[in-house]
Amino acid sequence: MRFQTSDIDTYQQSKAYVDTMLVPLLPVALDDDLRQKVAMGEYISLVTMEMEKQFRGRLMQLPPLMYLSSESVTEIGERLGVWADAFKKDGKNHVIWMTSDPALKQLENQVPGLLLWIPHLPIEHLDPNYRSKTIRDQMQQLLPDVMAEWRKEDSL
Amino acid sequence: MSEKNHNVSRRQFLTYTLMGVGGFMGAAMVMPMVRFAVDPILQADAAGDMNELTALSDLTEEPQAFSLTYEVEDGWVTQTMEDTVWAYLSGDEVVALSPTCTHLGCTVNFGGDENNPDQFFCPCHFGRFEIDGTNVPGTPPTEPLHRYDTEIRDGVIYVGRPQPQQ
Ligand code: FES
Repeated sequence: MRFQTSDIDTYQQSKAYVDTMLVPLLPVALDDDLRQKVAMGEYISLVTMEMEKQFRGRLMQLPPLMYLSSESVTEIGERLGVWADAFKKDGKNHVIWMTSDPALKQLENQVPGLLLWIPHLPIEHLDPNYRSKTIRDQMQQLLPDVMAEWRKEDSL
Repeated sequence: MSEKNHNVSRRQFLTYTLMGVGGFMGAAMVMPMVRFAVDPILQADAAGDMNELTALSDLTEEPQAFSLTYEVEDGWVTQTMEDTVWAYLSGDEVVALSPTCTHLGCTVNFGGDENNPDQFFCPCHFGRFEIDGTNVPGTPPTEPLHRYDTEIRDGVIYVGRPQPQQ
């Protein structure tokens, strides 16, 4: 489900079934590396959308969580911890963080929930048909990780 | 300035304004009616659209996932959509099912659950469906998988939009 009014009624009626938050992480910096950041952000948004499509009955996809590229990884990790605590209080058992940022790879085993680090493929140059296929293939590769996460009763 | 020197008196002003507003409101009410009346004529074709799925010879008795592309017109924008369709042969009959779980909309897979290799499986809340789409009682879905109308022309399968089956 998405964070939009058209999905909220369903969410409220079936809250108990939606035990996972899906959060894309977006680095922002208006520096020389801007192009790369935007491309990473776009890629992650597309993979996140595909993930939502596949698992919409169990996930609530939130708007992207932005951070400054100048922030330290420790700070970012702590912030994710705060969010995870809040989700837990609301009865959620899982969070899936989505990122393409190489700097965040080291958080993989540190933050609560499942941090999926997905290397950015330069799909912006691809033909649209091939692009959606690439995204779907990427998604297929992530499935086992998501399944493994869900096998843990409660990971927060 | 006194009231008398106005070219348009307050009363007249109000009358004109209300007429204007009333006119708009009237138009706002009539326009959709006209549209409803005309629209179906314009869209009759779209509803009956059949899209090519695959060659009949590709089907087996075991459901396989095929991808279906079709165009959706939303106002002036035409979008290409892509869906997955599970299709198989049941005797001579072509069965084409939508992979959208009727519980809360996750995507089901055939044989996704090791213990039930002959059923469709939804990983979200372990919903299960028989091969013909019938929901397995005791799992969350309360309705069968939706099914596509199919048509075969020159050895090619065409499908419409998925419909609930009861
Ligand atoms: S969405 Fe398929 S079982 Fe709940």
